[in-house]
Amino acid sequence: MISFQPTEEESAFVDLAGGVARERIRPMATECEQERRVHPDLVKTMMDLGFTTLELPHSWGGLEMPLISQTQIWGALSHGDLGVVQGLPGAGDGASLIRLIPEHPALQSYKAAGADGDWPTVAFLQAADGENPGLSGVQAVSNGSGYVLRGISLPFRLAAFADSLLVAVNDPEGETLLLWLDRREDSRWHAVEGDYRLGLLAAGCARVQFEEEVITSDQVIARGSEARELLSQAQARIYVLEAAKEVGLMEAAVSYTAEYTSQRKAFGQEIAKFQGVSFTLADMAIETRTSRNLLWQTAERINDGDSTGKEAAGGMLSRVHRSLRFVTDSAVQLLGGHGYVQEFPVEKWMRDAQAQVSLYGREGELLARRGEQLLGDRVPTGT
Amino acid sequence: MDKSIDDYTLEEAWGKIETALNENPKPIEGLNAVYQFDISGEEGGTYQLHLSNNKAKVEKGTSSEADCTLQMALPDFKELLLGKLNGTAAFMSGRLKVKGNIGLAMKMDNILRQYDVQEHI
Amino acid sequence: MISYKLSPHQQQVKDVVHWFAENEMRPLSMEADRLGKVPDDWLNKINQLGIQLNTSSFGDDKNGREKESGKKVKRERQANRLAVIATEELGWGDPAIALTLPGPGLGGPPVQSSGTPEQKQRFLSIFSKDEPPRWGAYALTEPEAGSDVSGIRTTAQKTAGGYILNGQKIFITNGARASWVVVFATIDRSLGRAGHRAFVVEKGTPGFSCTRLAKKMGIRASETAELLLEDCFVPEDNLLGGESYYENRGSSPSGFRVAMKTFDNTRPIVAAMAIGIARAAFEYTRDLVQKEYPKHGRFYHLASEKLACAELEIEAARLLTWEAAWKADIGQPNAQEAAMCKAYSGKIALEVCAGCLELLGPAGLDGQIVEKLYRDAKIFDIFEGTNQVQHLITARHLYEPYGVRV
Repeated sequence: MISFQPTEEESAFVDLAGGVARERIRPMATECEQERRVHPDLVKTMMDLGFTTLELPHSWGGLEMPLISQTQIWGALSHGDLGVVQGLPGAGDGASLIRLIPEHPALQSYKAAGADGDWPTVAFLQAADGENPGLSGVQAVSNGSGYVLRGISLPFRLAAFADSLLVAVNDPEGETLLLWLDRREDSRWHAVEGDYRLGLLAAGCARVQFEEEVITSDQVIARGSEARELLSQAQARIYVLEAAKEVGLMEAAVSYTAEYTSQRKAFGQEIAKFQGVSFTLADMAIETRTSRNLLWQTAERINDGDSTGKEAAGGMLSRVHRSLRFVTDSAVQLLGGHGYVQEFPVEKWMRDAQAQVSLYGREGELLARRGEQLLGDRVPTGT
Repeated sequence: MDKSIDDYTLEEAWGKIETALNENPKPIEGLNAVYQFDISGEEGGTYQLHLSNNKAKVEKGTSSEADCTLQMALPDFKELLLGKLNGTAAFMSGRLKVKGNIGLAMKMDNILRQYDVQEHI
Repeated sequence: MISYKLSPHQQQVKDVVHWFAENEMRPLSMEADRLGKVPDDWLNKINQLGIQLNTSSFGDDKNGREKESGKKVKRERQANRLAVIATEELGWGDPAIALTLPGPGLGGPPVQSSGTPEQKQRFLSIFSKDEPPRWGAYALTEPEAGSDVSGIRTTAQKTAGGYILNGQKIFITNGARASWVVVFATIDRSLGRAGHRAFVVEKGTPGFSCTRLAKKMGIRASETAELLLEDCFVPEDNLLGGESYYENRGSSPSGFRVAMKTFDNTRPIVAAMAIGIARAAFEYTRDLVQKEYPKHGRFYHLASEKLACAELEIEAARLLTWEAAWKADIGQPNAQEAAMCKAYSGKIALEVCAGCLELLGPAGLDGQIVEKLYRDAKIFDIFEGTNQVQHLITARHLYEPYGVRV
């Protein structure tokens, strides 16, 4: 039955998250950006409330929440600040893989390390897409029973803080590998300090350099078709969660802009009364609602194990990226000069948004890939 | 005195339908299909209407695989026969459920409409 | 719980209407567009099937089984959701034919919501599968007034036993064939909204005539009439809601506003039809690209990106529309959602059709359904309130919490 009604439990969680976003996250956003990390007090609050373990399975002490519920909570948190949300330590995007295979032996060392509830930070390096241009130089070379990793990666989120790495990479034969790397004393990988200025500055974006890092067979989570399948499933979940954060930021931008333009006067009246302003706000609201609905649809399908959800996730994220860029750009535009300066939050939102869409898949590429699926195997559009 | 449809058992009603269709097979000409009617309610039951070579044959139970199955409550079935219930409206309101070939289901609505079933019962 | 899965009942409505759209409407689509009308024999045949373009024809069955078994099972109202699901299929079949399906059409909701019991009986009971096909219509628009109803110039002058109507109405769907038309008029322009009245004017009333049928870019098989009221006497009994309805106005909303509220229900229907158009163009083009395009190269990439984009826009429009319908079903105000889904669907329907035409290239000009869908789609960005009007309504609701009226 078609319904847009959240459950009572979801509403309660969203209220809680909304309060934290308003009272804790938003006021500390600028400070966290300047410090280039999330303030430890804020991290502690988030951990105490369970927001860092929403995706982790019950058997790991996580909340194992359905995707549809998580999307609402991540949205409410991102209403505070996307930069803070993306800089939270813990299992990060790795949680979506853990969710799929909680008993896998390669993950047990990490599980033990977080047994006290203080989860070390995981960064997820997706370097298995052979066609991705941009000098991704990570290579996996066979080494008897295991592999050797060498080269330098593209920038990815949380890399600067990472205690563990989840790595997807292709071996020389083009087979996909999924690897788990905990930091040890003899680890031969490290984050490379870079020059990041655009946005998500508290999110620990960095490249990782591998200097002949030896991977033993017990670090290999999966290879070949099994690895590709796991990767695509985890990636679909990650796409949903990332889109949820983007929707939260969009909602923040819409309500902030509505309030500002209803008060700011020019030419003798509130600028809201100029249709160039009010129609743009209407478009921002429509784009935001559109993204939220597409997100919820994909979340429900993935939750139900419906394969069309996994297939559609990339297309959905591409559409949400587009909306995010439009909405955050419009917010800056409608605030005019004030939108461009740092006394107001919208300029940061626009920068964070652009950094976010740069990190998570190229819009056009995601769309083209979805189109190839459409033309390859026919997916009915009528639900 | 004529009996009203409420006085007939479902089985008797099906007998009348079979007679009516065979006496005037024009509306079922060229239609080769097995319809199944799952009629719910205390005095309900499952019947199949086999149409082939311009002949109609009613069978109780599910002797063959149906091309199209119609599910409804007994009072609705009687209203349908009397022409008091519009088949399309019944599909839309969910009173009449259809499984299988929808085109055949729509044809059945038409077929039943072309008979003054009351004349036979 | 948030869910976009159709219930078995909703799925059945979709399947049945889709069957109808595919087997009864599509084969007629191009020919009806060429003729500029839907053939009468088809309308006679279809009337007997009982498929109408009307929210009240779905769900909410008053003679349900619950009554009989003595149990009171409270079922969730879902007429609006069923209506948008069904209308998308009708739009997929052919929008002009869909608009011509017999029934009260857009005239139905105001009679349903504002009419007296006697009026509902008199005007709504004439639509039956056992009678010849009949239509109702809705006449608001005038040469100088559309969505801004304060501009209405048609006058209603009180006289013994009724009113004398004078004025002109344009762009009235099914206006010439309608058995009755809900006509909006003013008893005194200086009263503003308080002076507005809605009348049911019956076909054949002296002084009431159709002066012209408009020739249009698209939806050519749908009749768009110009109506003239010249000293047209309408009895009191045809004042929608009756005199008492307009008397104690003080705080209660005027009858006219109640009638206007029907827009909140009809906009999602219009949006759903636009989505059906877009889906028709998308599916036709996708199938053709699959068959005729090479599986690699520049054109293939262009096509895959465009089609993926179209699919997303269609899905996005559909979900906005479902949300507006869902809100109406659960009894929440949905004016903002209704405006948003109409604005979005009207826009993307044309964009999707244009994108499909681009993929088809010059071949799309010659006897293909997509060019017709493109012509049909444009009206969905205009009627039931233009895209700009929908933006205005959306913005008004967004600014309401901040105390600014835009």
